[in-house]
Amino acid sequence: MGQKFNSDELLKTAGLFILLGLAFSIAYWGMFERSERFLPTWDNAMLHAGRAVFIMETGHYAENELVFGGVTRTYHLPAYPALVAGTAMLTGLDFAWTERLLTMVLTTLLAFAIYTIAKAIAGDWRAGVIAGMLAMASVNLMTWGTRNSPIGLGNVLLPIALYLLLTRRTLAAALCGLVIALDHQPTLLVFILTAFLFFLWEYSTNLPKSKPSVKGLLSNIMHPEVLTAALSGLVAFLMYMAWHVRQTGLSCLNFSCLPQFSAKEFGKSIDFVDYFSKSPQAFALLGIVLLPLSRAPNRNKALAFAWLVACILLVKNDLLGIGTFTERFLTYLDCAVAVFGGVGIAIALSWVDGKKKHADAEAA
Amino acid sequence: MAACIYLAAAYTFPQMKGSLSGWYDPVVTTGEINAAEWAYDNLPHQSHFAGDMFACEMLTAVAFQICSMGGAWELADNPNQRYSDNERTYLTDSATEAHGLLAKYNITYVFASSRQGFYAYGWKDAKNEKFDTPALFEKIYDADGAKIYKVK
Repeated sequence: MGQKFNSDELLKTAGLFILLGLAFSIAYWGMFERSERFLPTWDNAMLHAGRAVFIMETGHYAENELVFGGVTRTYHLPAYPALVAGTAMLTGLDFAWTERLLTMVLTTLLAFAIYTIAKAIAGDWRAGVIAGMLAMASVNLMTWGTRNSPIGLGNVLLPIALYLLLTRRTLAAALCGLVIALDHQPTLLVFILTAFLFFLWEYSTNLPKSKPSVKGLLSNIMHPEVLTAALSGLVAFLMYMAWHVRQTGLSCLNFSCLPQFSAKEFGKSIDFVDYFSKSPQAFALLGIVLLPLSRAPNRNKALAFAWLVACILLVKNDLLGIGTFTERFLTYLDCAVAVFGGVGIAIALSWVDGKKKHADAEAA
Repeated sequence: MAACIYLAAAYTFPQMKGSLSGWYDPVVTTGEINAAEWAYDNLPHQSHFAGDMFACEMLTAVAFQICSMGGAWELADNPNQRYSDNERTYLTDSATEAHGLLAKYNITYVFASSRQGFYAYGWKDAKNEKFDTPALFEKIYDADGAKIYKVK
């Protein structure tokens, strides 16, 4: 009565563990070996730690910046400091140990989130493992995504939110969007733009065509085919707007008062030929070519390309006359590109081994 | 699977170590962290410190203080003037000039370190000797290359 030996399942489990082990090792090395005596301090990481300590000491969020004399009102969002403060209070750890713990958890979760979304898009666990491996080798993603700051949390939440969109888990997707809205503005932009592009695709392809009317439009937005993308995107947008109006009043509805916009931080124009000619980004070209030809459901393809297009638009926002945070958005492009790389290699492998695993895509 | 293990161990991990090494650098010294912990225990919280960018941000977390400088320059009021004044405070030889600049921003404590600092525009060596002027500054902490002065 011996159980049948399932080599595919064994390989899948081993692949996932290797991936998670790699992610954990990178975070452990960074938090305990490289910065052994303290914590990473770049990217204003200590400023976000300072906000967490402020919550731990006072029970309130710091309404003003803690630097520059503490006189300017903050535009930073509260989710990450609240997560650090809450974890510290629950565990009894001080803020520094909490930051170390959270960084290792979030980096490991980042690998798992990328595994999950790539596996769901391609319907092949190999896509997940390879995408995770490529992501762990992506410098922009790991530079900004593995340290003790809000972008680390945002990088994890984004692929999870997209997975929830793909699998039509409406409430969970909306909650995830809500947390992103309270964590990090650039992550929010990527999520909302991806959800919007995905919504447009679902709306234009899945809903019955009728004479245009406001009533018809509203009922279509609530249609089960598009509800997840519409609701999660709207919840995220409205949550952020509520915070934005709380901080700035009604005088800054065009966001021009946000210092990152007015100062055009990180506005360098990105050369995509240079970007895609490097490893591991070059592997994405395989996915960009093979995914449309594969048997993966069109919905999966639409979400993947909505994510990629959203990231490209945000990285190239200088072409739209904005020129803000262009380099910072490479973090998100690295993630989407790693998924395309994993999906592309998995499709090629399935064609080679004849398994055509992508036909069974999870979200079909 | 063997390829995955090989890639992870021989390529990805070493490459990431090289790429991320600088970003994981704590910059601040153990002596500075000890000084910040002393400040947390012995000075009023949310007091106004001056320091370099990295010490300042560390002080907000470890010592629960407000500081003169931070990395996200665009968040400051009148950032160029503030940055320039902060750097001048540390680079000038004149205790009187430094005292005047600190008074301009209502700064109560000066955090001084023996390492190179990023006071505004690049890594530079501060001229901290001027703070040993008892008429203008009172030294209240001095250990392991980190000093704290109270501005009189």
